[in-house]
Amino acid sequence: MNYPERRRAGSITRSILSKQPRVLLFCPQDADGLTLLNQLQRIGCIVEMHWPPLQEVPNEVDLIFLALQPDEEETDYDWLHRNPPPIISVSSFENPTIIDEALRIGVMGMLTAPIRAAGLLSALIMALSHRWQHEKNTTRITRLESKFANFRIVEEAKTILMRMQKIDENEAYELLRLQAMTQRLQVEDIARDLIHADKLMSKTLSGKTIKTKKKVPTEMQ
Amino acid sequence: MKNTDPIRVGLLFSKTGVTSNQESSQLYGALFAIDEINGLGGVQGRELVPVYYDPQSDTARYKLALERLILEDNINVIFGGYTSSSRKVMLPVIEKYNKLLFYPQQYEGFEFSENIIYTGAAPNQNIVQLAKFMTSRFGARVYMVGSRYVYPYETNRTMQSLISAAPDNSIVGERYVSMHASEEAVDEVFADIKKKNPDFIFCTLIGNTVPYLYEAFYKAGLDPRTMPIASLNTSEAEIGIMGADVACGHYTSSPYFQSIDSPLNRSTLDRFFNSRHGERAIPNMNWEASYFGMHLLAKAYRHAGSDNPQDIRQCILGSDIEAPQGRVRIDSSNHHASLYPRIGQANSSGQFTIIEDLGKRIDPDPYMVRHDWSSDDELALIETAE
Repeated sequence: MNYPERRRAGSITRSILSKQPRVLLFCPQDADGLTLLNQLQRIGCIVEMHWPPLQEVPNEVDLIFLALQPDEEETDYDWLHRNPPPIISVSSFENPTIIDEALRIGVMGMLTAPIRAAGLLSALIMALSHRWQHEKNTTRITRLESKFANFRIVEEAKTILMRMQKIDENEAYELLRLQAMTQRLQVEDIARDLIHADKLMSKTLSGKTIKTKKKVPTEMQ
Repeated sequence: MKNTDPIRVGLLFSKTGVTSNQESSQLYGALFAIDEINGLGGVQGRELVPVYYDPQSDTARYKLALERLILEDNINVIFGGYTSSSRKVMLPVIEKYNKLLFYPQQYEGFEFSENIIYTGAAPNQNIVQLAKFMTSRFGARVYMVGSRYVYPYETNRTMQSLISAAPDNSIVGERYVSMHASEEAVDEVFADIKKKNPDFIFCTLIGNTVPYLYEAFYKAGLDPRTMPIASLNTSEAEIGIMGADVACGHYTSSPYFQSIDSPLNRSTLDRFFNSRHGERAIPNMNWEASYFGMHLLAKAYRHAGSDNPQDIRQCILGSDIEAPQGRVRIDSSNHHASLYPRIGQANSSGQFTIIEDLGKRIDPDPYMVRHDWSSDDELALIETAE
């Protein structure tokens, strides 16, 4: 079997490497930390090493390697709460506690000592490309949510128009569209205004009823 | 350690199987160097003794034989491997026992191990030069044909990225065949190549299948001046099998060719051909990578004052030596060698006429991090790869 098509799509790994990722290495300068530093430089990353971690993470950083210390109570840094770049944890052992801790702070990959050069490139590419995929999905979800909300608004506005003007659905939409064009606004904006106006109107018209209704319970007391 | 103890070196090169011709070049390059070292009194009076197993061109046997060398024979330093698959299976073993492996063969790059010394070319020392040469002379419509394993896959991706700098570049075909493929299977691929009529053919076939492609080209009566075959591994050893007429006119990029016109290369070849190994292998890029690697090792033993593989490694890193291709050096940050890129065209006497020679040593860049991929649209690449 041949796999030319799949392979010919281009190499994501080469593409990521050619961008020379900027990496912060928040690890002590022990043998494992130095192995990490050397291999990251070998594969073309621009690396800065700090221990303890910096207080602030600069915007241009693409990836963080973060040592998870076994005896620390809870890993907490301010930058963890400010949408940090993807994180790969580095720890000297694995057990459920440290895995849960890594999940809690949202790491994209875990390295366990002893650190060797092999395996680092795959961890880095996975973290960066999964983060990239994740961001793309988040953008898509936000877009879909707002699209769906707008859709509901237009539907509601159409129903109001159909009821008030005794017209069908297509005519109602056409009316909204024309308004939007004349006022140079989005259909959703016109729909939102209309719903707002309709609510005001019904409040005003039913004002007395509401007041009388409110009196009922007081009289009951 | 007694000062007179022999130094035992493991050798894992196939004498049988589909890549035995190429691996024989490596084996006899190493054995020839060992004879030379011992002939001059060994390493400070200590004899170098080879311990050899035949992995039979079988990836699984490399691992088994390496474990045997380390665990049963207590060997610290091993020379071995031709295919990248063989190196990939040996890497975790050599790291696990913290020994030292010399890998004397050009390969696709994108690798580093603390425990490996790579004496063949990295991609920035052969394919970069080849892509530039072929596209500027013949065009960038390339047909890629290779053996079905990791080296051709990765190398073709690098070639694809490199030709994307050229106008009108395209991959008009890409086919892989087994290293055990028959002549008919390669003929069938060649029929497709002929139909697609590329500007040049990029051949990453390995071992016994290499001659089949050149023979198919020759039988078809095509002209290497209009549609040449370009390779990183077709060497004097392969030409020895297919014959000078068949290879004539095609191109290979390599730091070493027998035809390098230097006093040291000529005298080394003379000594080899007159040695007890002279009839057993054809000197080529692998022979030389193995040969100078062994001399580097002897030099390291002289300086280390210990048999500990970590001490030996420290002495090899950053060290240099006069090799047949020129003065080579092992890069201490990535363990690959600084070498001299050259492009040769096979001639009618079965040798290569060197038609491009920078005359300059290039430092190894196995991950191609210093390469300027200026023409690549990286984001577009990610988008299309979804």
